[in-house]
Amino acid sequence: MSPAGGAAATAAEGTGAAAAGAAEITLVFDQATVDLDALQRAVYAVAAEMTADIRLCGTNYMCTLFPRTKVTFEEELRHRFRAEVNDQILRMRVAKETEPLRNLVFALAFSQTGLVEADAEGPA
Amino acid sequence: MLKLIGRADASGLARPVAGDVWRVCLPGDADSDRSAADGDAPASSIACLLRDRQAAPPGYGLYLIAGNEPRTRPEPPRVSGTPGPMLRLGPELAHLDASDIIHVSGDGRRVTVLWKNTARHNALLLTEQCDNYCLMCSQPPKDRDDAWLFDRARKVISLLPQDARALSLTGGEPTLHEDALIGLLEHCQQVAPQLSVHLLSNGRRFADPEFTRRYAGVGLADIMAGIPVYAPEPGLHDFIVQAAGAFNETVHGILNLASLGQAVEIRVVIQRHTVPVLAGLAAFIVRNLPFVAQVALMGLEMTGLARPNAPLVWADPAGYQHELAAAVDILATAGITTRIYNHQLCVLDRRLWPYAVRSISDWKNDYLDICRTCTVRGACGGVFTTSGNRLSQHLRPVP
Amino acid sequence: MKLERAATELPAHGWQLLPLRFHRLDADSLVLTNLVGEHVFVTPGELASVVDGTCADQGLLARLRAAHLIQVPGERLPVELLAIKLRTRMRRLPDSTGLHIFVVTLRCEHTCRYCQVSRQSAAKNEFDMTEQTARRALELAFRSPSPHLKIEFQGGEPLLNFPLVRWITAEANRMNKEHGKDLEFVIATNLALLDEEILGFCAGEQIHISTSLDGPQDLHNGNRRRPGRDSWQQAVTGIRRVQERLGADQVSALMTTTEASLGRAAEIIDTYAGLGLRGVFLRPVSPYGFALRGRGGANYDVGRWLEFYAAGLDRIVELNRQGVPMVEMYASIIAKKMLTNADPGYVDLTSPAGIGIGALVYNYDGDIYASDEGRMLAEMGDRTFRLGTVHDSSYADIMLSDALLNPLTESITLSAPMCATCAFEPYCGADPVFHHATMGDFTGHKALSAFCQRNMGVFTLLLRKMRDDPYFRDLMWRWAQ
Repeated sequence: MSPAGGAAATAAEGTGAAAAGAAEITLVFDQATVDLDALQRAVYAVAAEMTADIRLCGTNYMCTLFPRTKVTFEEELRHRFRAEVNDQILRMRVAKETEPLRNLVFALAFSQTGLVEADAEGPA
Repeated sequence: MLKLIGRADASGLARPVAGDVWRVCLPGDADSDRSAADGDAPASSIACLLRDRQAAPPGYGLYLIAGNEPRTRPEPPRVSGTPGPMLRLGPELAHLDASDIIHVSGDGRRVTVLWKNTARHNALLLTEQCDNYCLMCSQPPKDRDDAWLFDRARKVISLLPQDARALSLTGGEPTLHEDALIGLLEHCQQVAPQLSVHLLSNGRRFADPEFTRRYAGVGLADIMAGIPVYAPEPGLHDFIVQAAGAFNETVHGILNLASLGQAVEIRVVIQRHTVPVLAGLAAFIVRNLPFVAQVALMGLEMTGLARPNAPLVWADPAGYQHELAAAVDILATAGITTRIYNHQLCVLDRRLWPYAVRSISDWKNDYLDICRTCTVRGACGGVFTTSGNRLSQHLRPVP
Repeated sequence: MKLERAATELPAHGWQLLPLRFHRLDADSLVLTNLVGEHVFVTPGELASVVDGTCADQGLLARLRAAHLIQVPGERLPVELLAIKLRTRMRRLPDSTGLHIFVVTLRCEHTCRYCQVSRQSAAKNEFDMTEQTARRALELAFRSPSPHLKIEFQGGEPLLNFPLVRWITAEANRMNKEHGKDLEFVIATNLALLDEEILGFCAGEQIHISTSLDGPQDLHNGNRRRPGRDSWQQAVTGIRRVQERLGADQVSALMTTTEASLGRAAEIIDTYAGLGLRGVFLRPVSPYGFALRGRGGANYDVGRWLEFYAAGLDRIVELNRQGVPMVEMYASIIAKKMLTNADPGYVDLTSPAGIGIGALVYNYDGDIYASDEGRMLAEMGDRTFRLGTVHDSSYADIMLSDALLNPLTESITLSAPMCATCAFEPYCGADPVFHHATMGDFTGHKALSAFCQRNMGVFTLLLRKMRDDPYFRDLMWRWAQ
């Protein structure tokens, strides 16, 4: 899967750096603990505040953030992005754990079962 | 308060009384012609009640000499010989009247009123066995064979007067005896189809779809299952009923009944553990069981297991009005019929009075001396005599 | 004791999660929602401990079990109940289409700043619907499976073609003898042309009147210009007349928020209260129409609209505390979705979207649109949401057209990015017309969507108030029933 941002990021990158004259805002995520999927979802979710570029460097993901409006405190942007990534990781963990039960609920909801059976023995 | 059990003087009996369940009639009543309309009621099931100086018409299986209330009638009734077995009833049974149904012990010395025709509520005990063991149970379970209770109930139903309107079936847990219960309900459908039946059950057996199908299949036009639910989740409910897995089975049972169009009432006994979750339970019912016919919020009867467990279960009604009002508000706003049972009006928040029902059975309700000056005594159900002196500290006449 | 309390409590790792989603309301407060939108407030620490299996707060665990957010492994009841509730929430889906909008004329004597459609021409023939068109539209309408049909007359100003309104009502009732549906009629009118004949007709046929009331006189007249500059007075007089003649329940008013409205929320509410109007619907005007037309009113941003909404809601709550039972209609729709399994049937907040299956619009010329906004978009040159024409499209042609099915499919929130994982998905809906107009695709990028921003703003506002104010929580419960 290609990293989010792609061509658009390159153009924005150039503009941002030239305008601000500041160092890039980059975050590093360990591939072992953070899913690319989570990073991409995070980038998607913060799109109103920033765009981002994700690159794989060794065993790390390097995320470069480009704020849409001038940012007084860079740290806030980093916090925001990290927090969003953590939320996405949590969401994905919960979704994965609960997927079988979610499917079961939908299957039951759209099936034609009449009476409800008593509790089955053993785990669902 | 009515006494339901009384003594009888059986000195006039030559041999044991033939049948055990009898409907009372007066001489000159329509059914004194024993051969008439009563297909199911053999002559051996109608007892003739004689008052002072009444002549005993022939042909009855049993004659009862009315008990005399010492204050009103110091002299016992004078009745000359009867053309059949005769019992003199003790003063506790002075209230006995036409269409009441009684059980007479074999030796004739004990008479129990099973059906009081003028009573607000009549209940038939079907068993004392139960698979729950509620902390506040007023009818503690007994693990012995009491199948005869079903037989007796069947006889009562056969003898019910034509104008009988409502009957509760209680226990223990009546559904533990599936075949006997279904048989009894079918009998009811056959001989008393107009009856409004209220079956008290913990609902767990209805988790079996097959049993629920049999129950619905009886086809009674007016039957409602009154099922207790004490919490919105298994943890607390199972603890209160002292049975792991009870909540899930009970709610499954309620769902099964609903899916077959069967009426369900949810009963909540308000006690120390249920007070904090009342509002949460109300919200759970509205969201998950909105089809229920009604919700009954019930005051404690401090008898049976509730007595030794008093420290665990007792809650003074005066102290939980806020929680009760919140629960009623949630249910009533959502359009669910809500009733408050077994609460004295003086300890009930006034806003809740419209929901209060005079629900304590005639045979176990009473008023305190202080109630004499209460302006709403007539609308109030009074207290449980069975609770003894375990009552609210805040009872007082309403000015 | 046979069963100790401890035996019925949950040990560490003694539960499993049921499908749940979360949203951060504040630094120390989150809301968890289950598949059908039941909610519980928790702190970040509590959420972490529940997910990790280490939570020791039995009270919290009990509340989560009751709300079907966690269960003990092996239980079946929670899943059964969730399935029943889910099915209940969706039970009206097969009952399309409930709302049928008949644009009986485009003529109007008002020139409201935010209007996208009306015409000032005096020539009746140019912009009036004909009986033939109306009959064909009715035939299509009656093909809908829905047991209830609401026929809403719009325009322009529908009373300028009152004879057709009368004709359609009679014809619909006649056709209904065969179908036996529950029919409801609404006229969306500015009330300036209300007269005794029209009042009598509405009384006889139990027609509901829906009118526009933007707020106090200067605000209303500033937005809604007409010759004589007395739009407000006409509306107020009309409202009172209808209340008196038909009953207070037969008339309702809608307001449109413009730049001028912001900052005056309390006044607007008070105007409604003063007229005995119980319901206020605080909603924004379609911003994309504005932007493209540049017809004044400016492009206020969502943040400012949310401030306006919050102020209006506060005023309504305050009035309730004073014994005036006003209802904010948007909040009451959301309350139903949050607190019950009922479907409020509000076409702008459903998944899939209400286009076509919730509402159909029959324009004066017989063109059929998937929604009123779709019609307005066509006025501006974009006919993406035109489904056909009454003159030669069959019911199957319009309801199975790509023009309808493509946006419908893409409007299902359970499969939209961000919506699928959003805690508020059970409360929300989709607006394919808006997203198409502003972003060029039916689903839209929700992080950049004013529709999303606005709805999230309202949901978080309502939830915070419910969390912090028991009075407001009770009010929402009342509004939900």
